Amino acid sequence: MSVKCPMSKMLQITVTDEVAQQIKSLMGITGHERPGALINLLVRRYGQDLARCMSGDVLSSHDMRVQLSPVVSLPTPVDLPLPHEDALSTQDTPPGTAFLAMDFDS
Amino acid sequence: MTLTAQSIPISTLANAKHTRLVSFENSNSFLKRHDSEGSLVIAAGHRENPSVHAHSDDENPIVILEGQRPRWYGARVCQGDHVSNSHRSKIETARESFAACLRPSDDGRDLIVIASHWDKPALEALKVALQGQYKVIRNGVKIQCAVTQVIPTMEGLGSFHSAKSQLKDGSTLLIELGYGTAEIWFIDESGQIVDGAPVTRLGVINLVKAIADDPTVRALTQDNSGTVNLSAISQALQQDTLGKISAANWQAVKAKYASEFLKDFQGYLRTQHANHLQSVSNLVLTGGGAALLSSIQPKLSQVFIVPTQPQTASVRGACERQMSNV
Repeated sequence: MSVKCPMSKMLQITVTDEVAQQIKSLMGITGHERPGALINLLVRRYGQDLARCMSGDVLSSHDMRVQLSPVVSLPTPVDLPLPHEDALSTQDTPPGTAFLAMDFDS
Repeated sequence: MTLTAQSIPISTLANAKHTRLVSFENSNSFLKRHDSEGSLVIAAGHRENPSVHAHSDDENPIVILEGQRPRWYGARVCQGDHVSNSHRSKIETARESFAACLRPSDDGRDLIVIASHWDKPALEALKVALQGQYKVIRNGVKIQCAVTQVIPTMEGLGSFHSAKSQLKDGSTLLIELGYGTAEIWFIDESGQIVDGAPVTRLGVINLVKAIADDPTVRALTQDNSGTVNLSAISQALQQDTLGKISAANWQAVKAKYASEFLKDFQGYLRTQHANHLQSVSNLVLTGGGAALLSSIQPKLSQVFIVPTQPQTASVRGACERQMSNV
């Protein structure tokens, strides 16, 4: 499974099948539609722990390997996800509401 | 020959050229001026008694104001040890900052100055501080002029005018992202500011400090004392690289921390201004921070109106607004 790196949309993270399955399970719980957004949330909340799972330098490698992640053992984030920005048409939605729904991780 | 302010011949302004309208903003981080000759932006830091090797130009001027010690202003000075304006009041620094922005073509003129401040009660003090005679030597050129009238105006209105042609009917939330602070203004359909305040937490300096704390940036840019040069990071935000950091990594660092900054920005607006956000017809993002963030995160232009050359939109707009009233 390959997902966008939360550090930069230019980078890709390759994760093991096991981690991919764990991420998919978490996506079902949190309602995130894209793994990149979920990973970013996890990085924000548990940055140090998650960072330890990554081999290689996030900022110097374009081909990172993520080993078995402990994130599934962490408590489920309680933040409700915002409506996805794609679901809001900026033509019809007040610009303020559209801004609040923007996802800056993707 | 060394020029001093005392060597300027005293003369009256009886033979003054025609009066000039000047728009001026004494920001803590940048001094901005606009008039019929164009815009001028000078980084608001100075060093006294610069060496003979100091390279001065219009954006890095050496200024002698009324017999004081020479001061070298601008971005070059701010790269090293300098006196920052950020810890002094804008009223206190108004006169010396305006002197740094004078042009040779101001010599012999009366000036009408539109000056902005975010604090409404301070406008009268700003007026008093700026008015009067100026005898200045700037980059070796003697300039003698008089500010005969000051038109104080609220910050934000100039930028609002710059964006006006792009606005839909209805109210506007205007965010002026500066280096030290951001100002958030709610402007009604008639163009009156009805609410707003400066917000320190949203100044671009917070983005700069976050980048300075990044382990990779710190490892590659800190000096022997462990200090990271914030001015160098500020400048590099507009560029493709920072020191020994490769272009690709620097882009990744910028994107990461700009994303974090924007999420904090969202969070602030959500908690402080959710009601306003649901009702405004226009979002305007301006100031130097607008230029920076919209270049790093292009999707901002989907919801924000960003005036052209947002860093100087305030002084340009204030000037145009005044001219439109004539």
